[in-house]
Formats: sequence, structure tokens, C-alpha cells
Amino acid sequence: MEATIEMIGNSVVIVLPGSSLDASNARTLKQEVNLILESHKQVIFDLGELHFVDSSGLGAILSCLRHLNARGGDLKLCAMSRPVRALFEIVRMHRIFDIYNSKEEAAAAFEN
Amino acid sequence: MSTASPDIIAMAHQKISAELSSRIRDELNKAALPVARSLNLSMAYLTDAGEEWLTDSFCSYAINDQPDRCWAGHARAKVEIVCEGGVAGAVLLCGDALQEVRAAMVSIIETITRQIEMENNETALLEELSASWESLEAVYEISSDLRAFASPTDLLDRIMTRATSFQEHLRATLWLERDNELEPVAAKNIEGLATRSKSEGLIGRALAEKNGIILNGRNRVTASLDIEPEFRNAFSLLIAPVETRQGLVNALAIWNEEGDRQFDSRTMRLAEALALQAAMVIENDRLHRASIESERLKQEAEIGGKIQQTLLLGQPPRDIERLQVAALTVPSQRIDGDFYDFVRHNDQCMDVLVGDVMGKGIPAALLGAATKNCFMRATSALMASAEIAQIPRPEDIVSLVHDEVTRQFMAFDSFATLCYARFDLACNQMDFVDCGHTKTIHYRKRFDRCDLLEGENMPIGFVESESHSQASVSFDEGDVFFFYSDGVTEAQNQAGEMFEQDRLCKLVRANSHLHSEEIVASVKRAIAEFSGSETFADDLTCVAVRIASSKSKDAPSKDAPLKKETMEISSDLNNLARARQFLRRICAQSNPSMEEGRIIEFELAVTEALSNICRHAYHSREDERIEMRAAVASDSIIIELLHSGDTFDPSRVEMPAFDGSREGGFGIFIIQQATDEIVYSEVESGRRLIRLTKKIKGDHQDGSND
Repeated sequence: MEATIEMIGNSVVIVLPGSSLDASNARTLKQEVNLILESHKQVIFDLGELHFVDSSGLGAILSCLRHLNARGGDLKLCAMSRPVRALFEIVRMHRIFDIYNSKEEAAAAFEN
Repeated sequence: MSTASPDIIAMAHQKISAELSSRIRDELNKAALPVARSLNLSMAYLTDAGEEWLTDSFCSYAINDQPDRCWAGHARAKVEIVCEGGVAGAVLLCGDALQEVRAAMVSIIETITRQIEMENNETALLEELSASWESLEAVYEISSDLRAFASPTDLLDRIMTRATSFQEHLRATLWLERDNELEPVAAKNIEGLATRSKSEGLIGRALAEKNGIILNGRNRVTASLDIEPEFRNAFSLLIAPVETRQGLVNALAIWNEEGDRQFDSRTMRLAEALALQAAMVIENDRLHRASIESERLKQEAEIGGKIQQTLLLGQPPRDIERLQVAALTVPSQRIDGDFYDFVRHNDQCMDVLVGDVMGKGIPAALLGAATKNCFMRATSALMASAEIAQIPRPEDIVSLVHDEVTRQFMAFDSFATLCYARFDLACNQMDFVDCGHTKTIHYRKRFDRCDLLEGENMPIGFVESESHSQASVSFDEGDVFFFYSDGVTEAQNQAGEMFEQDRLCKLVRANSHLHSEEIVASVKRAIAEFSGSETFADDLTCVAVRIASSKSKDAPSKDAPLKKETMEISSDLNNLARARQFLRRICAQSNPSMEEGRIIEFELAVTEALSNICRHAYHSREDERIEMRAAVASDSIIIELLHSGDTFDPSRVEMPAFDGSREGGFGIFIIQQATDEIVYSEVESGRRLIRLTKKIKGDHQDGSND
């Protein structure tokens, strides 16, 4: 499955594919988005399709954030489903990530 | 046998075994009863170890107590019993008239001697079998034909056909002794024979000397004086004289007029066996058919039963706590080559061997016995040669046995199907090597269905070089493995329909909750009911192994769980989604139902625990086993994850970096946060358990998640 990509202004929106992001496919995600992360600084992950993320999935997303931060960029998340939100809250990552209801809101936040 | 001697009490009998002595006594007892009743005789058996009154109808005194009173004024006879080169003892008879006593004595002794000779012959026959498969085959084929064919003429013709078919261009005649004459009763490839005197010719000589004659080469045949006219053109000649238990005497002559094939001692045994069969046919014809029928059946069943019980069937072990093992055989009228055996390696490991040799009768039984024994030797040999003390793998055992017995099987145009299975309780796994045997039924309790286990190996004896491979299946508590011979599935009813595998599977499934003894008994009952008979054309052989519950089982909850389910997955991370589906299904069964927020947390915890097992316990090997057991209790849902990988200590895992500075380390923390209880334990050696408990309803203080 390939991630759908669109541009909103200067931000690239990546819709994370599949219904779950866990230990079985977290590594694939990293590989898939790596090129985009190299070439963009404002990245938005749309989590709308994901119904489940585990610590490995979280680790992958965290790795993307750190990658971008290291290059002076940033990662914002949007459209987080309730189960995914639950994970972020358990490990308190909702405080680390900027989380928005929609990609437009996230993109707008980048422009500000 | 000799007549009475006065110092009979002092005779030596040290050469006689206690077993033989007691057998003689048994026979005397049997013979004494009718004699004493009809003739008013008394009989005692004496040895230097003591004496025993076999009847007390006339004399009621023991000899040592009051010998004079016993013997005084009565006619008496004493006969020593000489056996195995020593004096076994003596028989004393006393009665009213000397003539009566003597006649009774002769009759008794003759009966007994014949009986004992017969038994000795049977034993000798069994011992000789391995050297003479052909004769045994012939004997047993024809003894079964005895029942199938009504006419003695047909039977004799079959015997003669057999006598002339082991080589080309053979001719044969069968002569019966009657009133000092020899009567030709059957012939093959020769005609026009008439009754002749029994004192003439080679046949007469063989009968007089009670010894077989073999002459190889025309010169030797013609050099013999006093030769029968039909033998004049023979290149090689064989004469086998036999005498039956009932005193019938006959001789089978086989000769060859073309070619230069020779006869040997093996041919002689075959001819003797055939001559004996012919004699039985003639006796059958003379005696009452029904009584002979039962006698013959009994005789064959006795020999067959002896071989089966001692050589073919092993004893199932009963001291392995979690394995219920039961075996059952219903012998048919003719012994089959079905065999089974069990090897108990230790408390956790047992092997089962089941097999079936093609063919019937004693030859098949002996091949089966040889194969079974070979397994024992192969296992010991492999253990002895291993550098580290370990139990040899089933495929290595089967390969070694194959190497040893294949030539033998090929020589006899036979083969054996078999299944060698190892039950390993330490890892709940059965490894098996199947060589064309009937498909083993594996009832899996978890799915409430029967799987059929089948290997890819050829039967033993099919091809000379064959490498054997084993397959494995996992099992759970309540699973049943059912091994069986084709006599089970091929049992027929009145309409000629077979019992079939399908019916057997259903039966095993329906009785899977019972002890394995009851499972095999239920199969026996069902087949008897199906076929409407208690006797079967083939042996019914089956072995059931049921995985029982362990007494020291970890109870998942103090409350009895309402529902239990198990699922097995391999340690592939791609199975995580399946595991979550399983969990969702379990959660849907709780009543009251678990809140969605809690299900989400539980999913997270189970996923984290499973991926820890895959990555850390099994080091990312993807083909290892993980068993998921779920139980729904009244207030909680329990998930147990069992694995056989390395242990990992959750207490040594660092707390995760909540500032996002590290990507990993969240797993254990998530499990702790998302469950109400987590237990790590070792269930048994090498098998570890992670138990996650999630309450159906949250406590008041953590209801905030929803």
C-alpha cells in the first residue's frame, strides 16, 4: 500500500496507509516516507485511516518527527482516531506532537 | 515309555524343567478324568519331588501315607514318563482288573504323548518360521481355504497346484496309507496311478523310515533300487511323509522331469506342510465337519493369538500424567500383521509406533514382529551412538529401520505401512513420520474438528533407498490422536458398505471428551454395531492418545471462567492483526460487555506483549509458536500468551522517554498501563506464560479514559 500524498501550500500531507500501524509494518512506513522527509520541512501525517497504532508505530512516527526536527523541519499530526489517541495519551505523546483535527488545520498551523 | 519299575520313586528327573513337569501333570489330569469315571480306576503322578493323585474315585489314600492299603488287592500299572532325555515322573494306575488297567494306561499315555508332541512341534514350527516363509504361507493360506471350500476334492486339488507351482515343470502325487496299502488320493500332471503295496518303492521306504527323501540328479534317482515307475524320468525327486495327530499317514511326492533345478531342505519343509494340510483335508472329510471346524479355528487362533500378544502388541504406558494412552485389538479369524508399540522416554515424551504388514497369516505377523523389534534396536543404537545423550529424532529412527528391513520385505514381496509419532509435552507438539499408513486423526478441541495427518513417505519395503521426513503438529489440552489399521475403516456392513474414515472422525469427535480407553471401546462398539457382527474379516487395531489436563495447571482466575478459547499463531509480526481480531471476538462475549475504551487498551497491551515475544523471546524468528488462550470470567477477560522462547525481564526495561527523545521502550509501559494485572511466569521447563487481565468495567478513578 502506498501513502497518498498532497500539497497544501508549502506543507506535504501524507495519508498513512492501512488500518493499523504496528510492529509488522512500522518499518515499511519509515522507508516509504523517508524520501519525502528528505525533501520537505513541513510534513503532515494524516492518521484518518488508522484504527490502531502500537508502540512500534508510535516509534516510527516519533522517528520521523526527530528526523525533521534535526533538519529544522517539523511534523504535525491530524485526524487521529480514538484508539490511536488512546495510545498517545497512555505514553503522553499527545504532549510531544502537535495534533489537529484536520489536515487543513495542521497546514494552517504551519503557515502561522 | 517303559513298563513299571519298582524303584520308581527314586528316579532322577533333574533334566526336566518345572514347566514341562507341570504341563505333563496338566495333561494327565485332563486324561484322568474320563478314564476314572468310566473304568473306576485311580491314577497318580509320581516324581521324586512328590506324588499327586489325579483321580480319587477309587483309591483315596496318598501313596506315602498308606501305600500298602492303596495298592493291596488291586491290579495296578506304572509307567515312566521320559521326556527331553530324562525321566519326568511316572504314572500309577490301579483298578479292579489288570486288563482294564493296562488298556487304560496305554490309551492315557498315548493321548498325552501325542498332545505334548504336538505342542513341541508347534513351538519348533514357530522357531523355524523365519527360515521357511513359503511353507508357512502355504499352510496358512490353505487352512483358511479349508473353511471356504466345501469339497475336499477341490481342496486337495489346490494343495497339489501349490505343490507344483514353486518351480516349473513339476509333477506331484499324494498317497494315503490305508490297510498296508498306498492309495493315490490326488495327483498333478500325471495320471493312471493305482493302489499299491506300502512296502514297495521309495515312498514305502520314506514312510517306513518316517524320513523325507530328496534325490537330486537323474543318476541318483535311477540308481535307487526299487523305484516307482512314474519316477523313472525324474531329474530330481522329493518325498515328504507325514503323520497327523489322529494317526493318519500320507506322503507327498514331487518330481521334475525337465530342467535341472534341485530340491533342498526348504522345499522339503514346504512339501511337508502341504502334505500335512492334505492330511487335514482328508481327516476333515472323515470326521464330523462342525467339530473339526471349531477345533481348527481354535488351533489357528491360539497360535495367532500367541504371536500377536507376545510379539506384535506393546503395552501402552499409563504413568504419563498428561497423556492418556489406550490400545485395542480385536483379532480376526486370521491373524493380521498389525502391530503397535510404545516407548516412554521420560515424563514429558513418549513415542507411538503403529504399523500394518501387507498380507495375512503368520508370515505377515512375523514380519510385523521383526519390524517392531527393529524399532527398539534402532532407537537404542541411535542413543548409544549419539555424542550427547538425547532422544533420536523419529525420522532418523525410521530411516535406520528402513535400511535394515527393506531387503527382507522385498524378498517376501511384502511391505509395511506405519506411523511413528512422538508426543512431546514440553512443547505440546507431536512429530511424526508417516509411511503410507492410514491417516491419523487429530481431533483439535480448539476448533472442535478432526484433522487428518498424512506424511509423504513411502511404505517400508517399497523402495530400497528412501529418505524419511517428519512433520509436526501442535496439540492442546483435550486434543485426541487416533491411530488405526485399515481393518477399522474397511469394516463392512451387511450391505457391503465400508465404515469409512468420515464415520470414524465423527465418532472420535463425539467421544473426544472421554478417557482414551473409552474412546477405543466406543470405536469397537460402533464397528460391531455397524457390521452386525462381533467377528471381523481383518484385525481391528487402534491406538488413542488423549492430551489430558495437567493437575498443576495454572488457573487463570479464581472464578470459573465462563468461556475459553485458544488460538495459535506463529511468531510472525504479521499475525498481530489476527490476534487483535481474536481478542475483539472474545471481548464481544463478555456480559456485561467491555467498554470500547477498555477494549482498545487491552488490544494495545496484547499487541505489545505479542510483539515482545516475537522480537525478544524468539529474536524475530518468524516460525515459532505462540499460543493465545482467552478466558472470559464474570468480571474480567484474561489473555494468556504461551511461548517457548527466551525469557525477558520486564523489570529491567527502562521507563520510556516521555519527552520524545527515544523511539522505543514504550511497550512494557503500555502493557502495565493498559491492563489491570500482568503476570510473567514459567509454566514448565522452557515454556513461558504472560497473563494479561483486564477488568470488564474500570474502577471509578480510571474511568477518565472514556
